[in-house]
Amino acid sequence: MELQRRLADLKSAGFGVAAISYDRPEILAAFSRQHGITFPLLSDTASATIRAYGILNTVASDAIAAGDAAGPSLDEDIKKFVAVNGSRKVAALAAGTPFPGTFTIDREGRVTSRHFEEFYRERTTIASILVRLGGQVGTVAAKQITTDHLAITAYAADATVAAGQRTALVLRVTPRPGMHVYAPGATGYRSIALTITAPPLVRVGPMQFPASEIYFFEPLNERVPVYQKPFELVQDLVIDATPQAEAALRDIKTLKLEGSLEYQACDDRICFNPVAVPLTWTLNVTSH
Amino acid sequence: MRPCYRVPVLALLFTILIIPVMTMTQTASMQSGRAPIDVSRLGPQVGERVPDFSLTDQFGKLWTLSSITGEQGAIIVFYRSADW
Repeated sequence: MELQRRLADLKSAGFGVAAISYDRPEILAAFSRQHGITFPLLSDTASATIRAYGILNTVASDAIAAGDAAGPSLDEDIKKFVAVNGSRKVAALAAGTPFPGTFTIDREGRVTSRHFEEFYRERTTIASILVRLGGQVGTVAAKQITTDHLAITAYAADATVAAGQRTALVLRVTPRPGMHVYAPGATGYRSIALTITAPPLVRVGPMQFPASEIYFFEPLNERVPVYQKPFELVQDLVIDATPQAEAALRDIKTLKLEGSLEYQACDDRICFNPVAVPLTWTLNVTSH
Repeated sequence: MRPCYRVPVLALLFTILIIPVMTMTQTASMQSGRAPIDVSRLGPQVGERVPDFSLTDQFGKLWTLSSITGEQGAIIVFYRSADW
């Protein structure tokens, strides 16, 4: 279980953790023994907490109510949120479960990020949640790349991935002293961007850019969004979770992703030509 | 004559343009019959407080939101089931 493996990372980042389901305590106890779970698996048997959070899976009960008379749009929802094969048996089990997802909260109980998926078989990994919050994850193989303008550390939030995981590729970028690169929204310059060529079975999602700062270039009286302090780019990635993808992934040991980081750097005197840095990530594949 | 002329034109336009649109919309909503589900809008949003809870874990220990929370906060995972 990914969460159990990340407990040390979570603890050192100062986060408590709990997983909530509608299972009875004895079911959770058996599961916990079998998988060596040490963090709290909380039992919400009447789904009261799931309801209080407003995330009860209503598609399951709609599926039961409709029976065989479900219209095309309910059928579509059942495949997305209950059972990919449309099984009414799974719908009966899923009544009372939540739409699966994860909240991160601060000390005051306020949501700092939330990760709910459009397909019930997908999950955002704990490692990528930590990375998205600006945290670090241990035991990852990072690659160091140095250019004339930047020092880049490239790594994957999860060195090993499985079907249905929403994970992230991370670039930690440190501009050399006096150097800046252009952030999204800069006009007249090439703003930093990562292009990923993903193999089949991998979906490339949006890139998370940090907040930029405005650089004032006096000779041109120009104000442009830039990065000049160390910053992190987080590229969203989903490993397909359809039954076909899951079957195909069983025969695959690694997924190789190729990317190109394009940017333009300037210092307070010279603007350099745009640069494209080739990058590769190799993710190990496991079947859970 | 002009004012009298305008009214039928508007009525005609209504008949030709608006009524079919209304019917189409009605048909579409009857066919779908369901509001689309946007899981990103369900439950507490970023910046909002989450509800407290008091739940027992697999070892019989009772936990609340504040007893789960560490010095930086907490991660609360909702999942389908450990049973199936």
